[in-house]
Amino acid sequence: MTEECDSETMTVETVFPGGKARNEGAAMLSFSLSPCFIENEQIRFLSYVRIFERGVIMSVNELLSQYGEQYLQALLTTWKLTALAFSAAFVVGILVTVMRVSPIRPLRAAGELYVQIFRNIPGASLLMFLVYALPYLSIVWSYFLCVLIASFLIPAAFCSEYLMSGINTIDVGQIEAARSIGMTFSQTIRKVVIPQALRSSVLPLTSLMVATMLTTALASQVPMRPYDLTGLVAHINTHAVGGVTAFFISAVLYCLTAVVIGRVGNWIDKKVRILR
Amino acid sequence: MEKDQNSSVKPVPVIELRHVDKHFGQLHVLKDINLQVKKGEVVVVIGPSGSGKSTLCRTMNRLEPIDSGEILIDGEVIPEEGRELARLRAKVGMVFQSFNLFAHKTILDNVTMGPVEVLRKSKKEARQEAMELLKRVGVDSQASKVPAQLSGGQQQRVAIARSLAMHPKAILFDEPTSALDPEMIGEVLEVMTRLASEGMTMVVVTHEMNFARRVAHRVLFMDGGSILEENTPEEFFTNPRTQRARDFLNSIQNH
Amino acid sequence: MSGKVMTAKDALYEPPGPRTKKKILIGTVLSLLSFAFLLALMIRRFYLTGQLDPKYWFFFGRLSTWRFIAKGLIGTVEAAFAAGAMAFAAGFAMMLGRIGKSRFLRFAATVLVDFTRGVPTLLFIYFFFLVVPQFGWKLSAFWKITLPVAISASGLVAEQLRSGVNAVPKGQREAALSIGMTDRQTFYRVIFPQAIRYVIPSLIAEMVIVFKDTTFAYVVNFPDLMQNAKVLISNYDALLSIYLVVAVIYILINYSLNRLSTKAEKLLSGKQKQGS
Repeated sequence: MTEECDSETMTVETVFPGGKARNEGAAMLSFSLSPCFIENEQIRFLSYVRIFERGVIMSVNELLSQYGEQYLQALLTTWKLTALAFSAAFVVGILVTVMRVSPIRPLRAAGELYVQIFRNIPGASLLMFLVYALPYLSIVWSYFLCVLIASFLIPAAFCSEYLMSGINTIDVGQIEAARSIGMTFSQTIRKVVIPQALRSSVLPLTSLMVATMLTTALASQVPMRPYDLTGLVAHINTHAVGGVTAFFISAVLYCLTAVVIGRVGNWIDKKVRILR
Repeated sequence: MEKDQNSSVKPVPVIELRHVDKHFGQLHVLKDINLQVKKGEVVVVIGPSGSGKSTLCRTMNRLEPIDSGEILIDGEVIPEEGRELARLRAKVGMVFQSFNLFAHKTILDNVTMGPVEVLRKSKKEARQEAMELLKRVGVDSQASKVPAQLSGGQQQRVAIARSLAMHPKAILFDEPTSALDPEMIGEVLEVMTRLASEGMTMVVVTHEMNFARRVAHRVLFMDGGSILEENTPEEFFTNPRTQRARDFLNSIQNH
Repeated sequence: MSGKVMTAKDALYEPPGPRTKKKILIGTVLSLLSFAFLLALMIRRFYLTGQLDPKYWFFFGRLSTWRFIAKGLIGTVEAAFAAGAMAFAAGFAMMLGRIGKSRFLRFAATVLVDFTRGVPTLLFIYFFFLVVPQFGWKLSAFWKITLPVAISASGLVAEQLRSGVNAVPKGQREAALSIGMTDRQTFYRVIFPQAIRYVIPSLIAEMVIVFKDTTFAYVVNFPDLMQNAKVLISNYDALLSIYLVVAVIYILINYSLNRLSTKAEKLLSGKQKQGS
């Protein structure tokens, strides 16, 4: 069986096999997923260890001079994924929330079901399904799109949870007060409910954005180019001896992004926070 | 009640309730309520807690739905839903026990919200008028603050201004001073007294007996979901007709 | 005096009148029809692509399949509990650092907390999978998955514990000190036992994140549910059905953990009310 395996089609970035086979149709998939994959992994892994033992660990300068441009691209890719995924999560989260508070029962149930599925499904499970299972239904999306979809479907469920608790912080009396001055249902929602729910969700949404960024590391699980920050570390460490340095550069870039998001969130929150 | 009159002869009452019934589950909270509030009249509703007086007040703005009967504002039946309901609600102001100012808006914006959104006035016009109203209730210096920065008494006066901004035919007060610290009750009652003397039609649910005695044209005593007694304040406080009203008055005097 | 405690969610709509009732009925029928339509479309897709063929599903009737899935599940549970325990220990230490008197420790703990919360679990996994072996430190697959998952969760645990400690009323500490307890006794005998009760629900919810993160065990070849699923896939040449079932298993596990967390919350807050 081992001979049948084309070991060149497998690199460690495509830890999950079938990446290439995916494009060549479903028939290839079964082959690339055969048990030989596991043996192959081990052989490959041993060879990495050998490379590592031979090499030296690079300095930051050395690493950046060689991979600087790729790091920049990786950072931009992570940012792009985060921004797109967060925006989509926000929109979907609002839609799901509208469904969950609607007076129409099936819509409520569907919204609830969405939240329970996507706040509980592991990111890897979802991504693998999108990338490797959907082609069996003749639905083939690009790797980038698959990563993007996985990284917004999950945060959207959490977004809806935060918006729901934002709605529940609103004093019922204020809704009655709006009614009593003759505001219609839609005016009450637009002028009283949504502004207050959004304002009290700024901080949870800030941490949601950081969580979304962490979710986009899923990109390292498919052969997506350009690499994201996590994928690049895996790439560098399989082709050269980036070691701790490569890891730390990515880690620091993630952390800095998280800090910036947190700062901006705090700033917005201070501006719009509702005194109670 | 024995007040069935021919409405074509008399002027149309601002608020009228006809055979209003309401249940909360098993509890019969309003039992066949009939009531007319005339223009310029101040009606004070008193009664023990759980008597249904607050519910009565809230049904007049249809914040609580009713099971049967009808409620008329200015001779028009309040419908169950829709734009017509909103339009009629705008004609009747409501002041709540817990103020219910919009927490995300400044004091000024709280007052202009109704005129701008519902009456479609220009922002400028609404603002000018709102400032005048705030001056009338004595909180114009706080216009740019948010509700949480104001004392309870100030917030309640803003809530009254918010109601007045809609030029209502009547204002309903649902225990407006019950959530206030004692030293702030006076300032709110003073504003209400002034409104009454200016001829505003008012329905006031309250425990402030002195206010009732001084300002009311008519006192309703409620217990167990019914209006047990309807009387002038002098008569009611000196010589109540029902035993339960006597008991109630005794219990608060002993307090 | 409506006698009902309402949340804003319930108060959004007024009791419906006849017109609204009609609209809701129409909406209910329409939404049910469209959901049925979507479901039919999905089933049709499955049918057209041959995925409903019994050959993709028959093995779920076999005990051996479920035994194998259960084996993987045990691996998942083992990894998750080990990681959870380590995360708790590390989180506890970081929390002590953050509330402690030493300025340096406070700073170090804060940096650690932010670092572990700002870096994706996958990056930590690659660190232990690719970087650590470069130092000749040979870890088993078990540690390669549990250590990074634990590190990734520890910062959150630390923050949760800290918020629990902060939630204990100040008077408790003063009372303990006033009867002559030392700082140490006060913390371990009075403050922490109360704090832990506040945070048990969020700690259970935290286990959901840990469970989800162990899904990446396939990266390091640890035989968890996901990894065993892959073996099944190759054995039965059925990918879609197996990924679907595995995803549902994960969702059910995490759903029950979330339910447990909500129950614990209700139970504990009820107890606290009785106690006070």
